[in-house]
Amino acid sequence: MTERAMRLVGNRPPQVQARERVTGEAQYVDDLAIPGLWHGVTLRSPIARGRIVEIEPDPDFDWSRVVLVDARDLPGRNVLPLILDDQPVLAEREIRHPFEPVMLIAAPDRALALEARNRLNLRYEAKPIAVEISDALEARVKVFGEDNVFKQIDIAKGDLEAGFAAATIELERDFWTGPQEQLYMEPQGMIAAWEGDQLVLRGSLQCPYYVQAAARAVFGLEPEQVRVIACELGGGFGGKEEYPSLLAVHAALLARKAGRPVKMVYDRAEDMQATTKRHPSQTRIRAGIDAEGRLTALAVDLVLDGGAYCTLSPVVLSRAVLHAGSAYACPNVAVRGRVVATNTPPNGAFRGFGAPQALFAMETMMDLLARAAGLDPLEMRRRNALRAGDETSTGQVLEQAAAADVLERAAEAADFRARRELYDRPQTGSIRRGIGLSLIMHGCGFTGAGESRLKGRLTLDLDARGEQLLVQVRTGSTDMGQGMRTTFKQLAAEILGLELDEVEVAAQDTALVPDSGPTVASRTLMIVGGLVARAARQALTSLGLEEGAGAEALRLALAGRGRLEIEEVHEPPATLFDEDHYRGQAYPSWGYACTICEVEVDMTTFEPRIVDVVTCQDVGRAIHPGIVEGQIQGGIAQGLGYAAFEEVQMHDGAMVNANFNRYIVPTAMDLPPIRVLLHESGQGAGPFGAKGIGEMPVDGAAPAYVSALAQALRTSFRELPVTPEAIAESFLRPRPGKADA
Amino acid sequence: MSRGRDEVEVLAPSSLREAVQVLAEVGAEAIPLAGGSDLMVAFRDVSKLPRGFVLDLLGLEPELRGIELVEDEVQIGALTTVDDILHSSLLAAEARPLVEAARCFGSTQIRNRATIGGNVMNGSPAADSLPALLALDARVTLLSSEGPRTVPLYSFYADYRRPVAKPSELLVSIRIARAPANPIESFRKVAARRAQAIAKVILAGRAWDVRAEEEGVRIGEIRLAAGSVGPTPMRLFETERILRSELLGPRLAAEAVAVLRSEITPIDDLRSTAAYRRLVAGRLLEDFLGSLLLQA
Amino acid sequence: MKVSFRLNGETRSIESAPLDRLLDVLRRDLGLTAAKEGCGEGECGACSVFLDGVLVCSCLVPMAQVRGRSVETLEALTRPGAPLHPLQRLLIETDGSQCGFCSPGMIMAGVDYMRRLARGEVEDDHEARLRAIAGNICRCTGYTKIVEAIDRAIEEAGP
Ligand SMILES: Cc1cc2nc3c(=O)[nH]c(=O)nc-3n(C[C@H](O)[C@H](O)[C@H](O)COP(=O)(O)OP(=O)(O)OC[C@H]3O[C@@H](n4cnc5c(N)ncnc54)[C@H](O)[C@@H]3O)c2cc1C
Ligand code: FES
Ligand code: FES
Repeated sequence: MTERAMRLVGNRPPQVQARERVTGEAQYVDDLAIPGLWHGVTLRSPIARGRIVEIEPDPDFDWSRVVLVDARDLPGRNVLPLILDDQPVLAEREIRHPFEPVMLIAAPDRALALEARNRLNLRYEAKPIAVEISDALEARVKVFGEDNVFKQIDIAKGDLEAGFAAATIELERDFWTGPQEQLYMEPQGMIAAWEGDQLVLRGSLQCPYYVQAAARAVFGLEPEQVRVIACELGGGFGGKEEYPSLLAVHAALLARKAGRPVKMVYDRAEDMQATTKRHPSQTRIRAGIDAEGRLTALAVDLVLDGGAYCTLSPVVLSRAVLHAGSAYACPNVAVRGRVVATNTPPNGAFRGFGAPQALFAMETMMDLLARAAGLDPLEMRRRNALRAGDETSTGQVLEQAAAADVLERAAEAADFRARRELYDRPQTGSIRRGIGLSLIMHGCGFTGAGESRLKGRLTLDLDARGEQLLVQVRTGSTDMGQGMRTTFKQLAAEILGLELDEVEVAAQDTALVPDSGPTVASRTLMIVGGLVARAARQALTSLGLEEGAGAEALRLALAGRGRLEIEEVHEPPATLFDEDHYRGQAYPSWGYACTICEVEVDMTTFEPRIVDVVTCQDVGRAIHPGIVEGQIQGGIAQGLGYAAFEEVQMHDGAMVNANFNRYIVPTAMDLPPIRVLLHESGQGAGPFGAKGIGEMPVDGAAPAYVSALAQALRTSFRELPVTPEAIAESFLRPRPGKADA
Repeated sequence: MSRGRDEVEVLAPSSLREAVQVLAEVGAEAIPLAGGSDLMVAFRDVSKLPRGFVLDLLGLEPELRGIELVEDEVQIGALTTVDDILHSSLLAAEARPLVEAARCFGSTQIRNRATIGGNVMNGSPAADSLPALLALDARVTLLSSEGPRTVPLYSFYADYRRPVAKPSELLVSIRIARAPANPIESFRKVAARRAQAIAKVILAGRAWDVRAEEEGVRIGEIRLAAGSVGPTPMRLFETERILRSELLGPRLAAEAVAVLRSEITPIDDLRSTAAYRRLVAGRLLEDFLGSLLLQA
Repeated sequence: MKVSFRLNGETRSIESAPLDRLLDVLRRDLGLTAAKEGCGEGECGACSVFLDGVLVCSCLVPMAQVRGRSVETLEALTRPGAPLHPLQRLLIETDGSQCGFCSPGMIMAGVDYMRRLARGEVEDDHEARLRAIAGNICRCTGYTKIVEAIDRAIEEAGP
């Protein structure tokens, strides 16, 4: 690559739509004014498992004012297609989880639709339920197949027993994590309208082409008959990856029957109760280290709770098992992962996608091993951090590994050693302090051969026919606050030599943009952004221009043909990863992050307070450092929420604390400024050496926090979240067997 | 069958007299509305709408909003907002625990609308102002067309969220004792986060006439109250009595903590556990007693 | 019932039920969609507006209590074409708005604090600034950049 000084990459231009966002002009789905719109609501199951006996409409209600839809209104199969095709669009006879959609109601106004819903009496027969991972494994209640296992994945490397034989210290521990709610600030919403034989769907969604595929399958339509438009998106975090497909189909069913556009916007309680969460997990780790504290053997048995339907769980599981060993070299590894079925609403995509669960377990285990070996957490990680040339659990040889770099930089910025030692000294008084650290790595992009199947596309259109040169990037990737539009403009403008406002990113509308693959898995900048760069370079090559040519040169070169459209497709060879044996290159790039957290615990009330957070993250290259820092800070805030505040309380499979004052996320008063150090190795697989950073920040926050807490309280925590109640409990009843602590 | 929200009528009297007159006629059918921060949330469920109408009190602000000295007490009008309390210099001098309660109450937006009268009448055991008011010997004044009556706050709640006020009565003001000389005061709210949170445990206290003696500290007068540890906010009479009975030292402190823990009746709910509440309430008392020993 | 009130400086008179929420009237009937509904329960602050100059959650204000009063929404902060309020500009400069759903409410809360500061009603310190926006939940940013924007806006405004 040319060593040209960069004009735009690395700058912090104002973000696309930022003005509209701060003035309130940005149009989120519920802001759209659509004439003749009706409002749709959902009748849901009140129980976790059973059989629908009958739905009785109240005879005293005037049903002519509303439209009702049930499974019989489906034109074809009652299936929402995804990996296993096991989830019905509407429950027909069997109920498999609480809040499962059973019937849909539309009316000219929402109040009437809700009133109608209250007049429907759902009669059912309840059946025994399985709601915990342990229930699922026992398999007395069969939610899926004979054993309730949606998917099992095994990874094996080296000789495990030889590894344990070589160990001088061996520990085995269990870890648990609870569900977590995405809690995007904008609830799920969708508007469906049938315009002739075309279905138009506007919504709050991450993946327009997922929604299109679902609607096509349910209604038997051709691609051009389903137009999906992503509105300004009020946060997604994975929660609007697969779920909007179901909502879109519901809204479309109502719109079809009502003969007019129908809007469905969930209220907050419904959104929290009915939509996906981060998978709860249970992990057993057995690990051995030698006299130097180096890992000799690692055996991980991880189980995720998938909920009642499979949705994306196998892919979540895949990421979980691939992250089970964190950022450490270990010659002998065995990982077994299973995702099981329970009678709870399906769990699904949430930033991190299985990695945070696995990494919490492994990082906490590293602290326990360090303690057993008499090493501090920093030294323990130094001795085990993956370096260039090392091999991951799947035998992927790392060309680059910044684990040690981010570790040292963060440790220095936080003054980790000195503070750790200080807080190791006896503490008295009403405030106890601790500092903790985590080191993780996160695979950027789709797992394994995923990208080869996806074949993400992108179009770059250069048009010199008018007075001004128009350059447009067309992508199906969406911008949910992570700054896709701004970053893509920077990339195209940088390479073509244009000003930022000379490049435009087309609206995320399937009628205008190609399928770039879903906006998930930290792949958007690295993979799709890579296509932007490739397309721009391709355009220059075919016009015989140099990089950075500029508007004038482009106009001249285009003079003959007027317009040039470049389509790029991402087609990596599928052979890099062997999905049957989990061997080979699991991800094109790995990002590395060290997060350090300092806490104080008020010993009167056991309330913790996070006083400092420092993180160093290997982002490859920060195309827009402001966006990158924001991603990191926001991800860490979510990770700290996961660790310290956010508890989804379940009763018989249903979330019972589904509102903002019972499900607690941090406010501005609960978080210190999050200090971010960007490590720009320039060695990612993305444009200008960028890596995907959307998810990585979430991974390391919880273990760092728990590590700090464990130091402050001279104990250990192996379950998330750690509430003040759990802290008080640990203080009153120190765990037996101090080897643990 | 419940009615829709748009079918409910709202009456807006412009004087207190008019308001109590209306209530005299149709009290049981009406729900008084102040800042709406409890009611508007409740009204999301149509079954919580009144059978009759809503009586909007905000027209009574000229009569019912404000903080002033009346005789030897501080009088707080029912429509005084939590934000008013937070910024009152009179209360800063006379009623620190109440100002502290206001500080950690909800958010800016909520403090701006929430009234003290609404907090008292809503009567949640987790309400922030109530333990503070109890520790300050608050009395509430109710008014109906038959005239006013005054009830000590400690006997105001019959049960969980059931104030003894009749439907025909409005809460017009709350009176609290002025600060005695050299009070030692405390208000602690424990909640899941540092703002916008409902309490798991609250302990408020005021002691005065506290003197160091050779063998320990003599507590002349003490008021203690707790929130979120029973069906109603609680004045801790038993604990107070023990603390007045002897000189304060480690033994009495431990005894008082034990009494407090048996006096309260916390439960497990979505916000916390009975065990945590009992444990922490006791530790908050220990802390307060520690500050008495230090400051005496 | 007919409700007359001042909205962003203009007198408006509209037909609404007395218990209609101000938020719905703004968004549905008046087409002012800057205020957002994140929870409908006063918990998230996305619906914040000024009522008689006081910051409130419009999801908790019934129209009966808007009669004869004045309402100011985010739309009034910047007229089309006019420069942004410094806090809006700084929220862009610091990248303190990601998905932007919380931004309208967050800006109203920040502006409220700055106005109270200018009126000498608050004692300004770091904690007071955090407390001022603690009723506004942001799920994207972790608040660091939002607080930076507020700090810089206050600094620019000078003593
Ligand atoms: C987001 C949020 C956060 C909150 N945070 C807190 C908190 O931190 N701490 C806390 O204690 N509370 C909190 N609350 C609860 C609520 O704000 C308080 O209880 C508040 O004081 C209620 O006052 P109001 O004026 O809004 O009452 P309203 O909602 O108007 O009324 C509440 C009740 O009191 C009755 N009432 C009101 N005034 C009178 C009167 N003068 N005479 C007779 N009856 C009357 C009403 O009929 C109703 O039953 C919160 C609420 C919300 C929505
Ligand atoms: S919508 Fe009003 S505070 Fe959340
Ligand atoms: S920017 Fe998305 S919620 Fe704040």
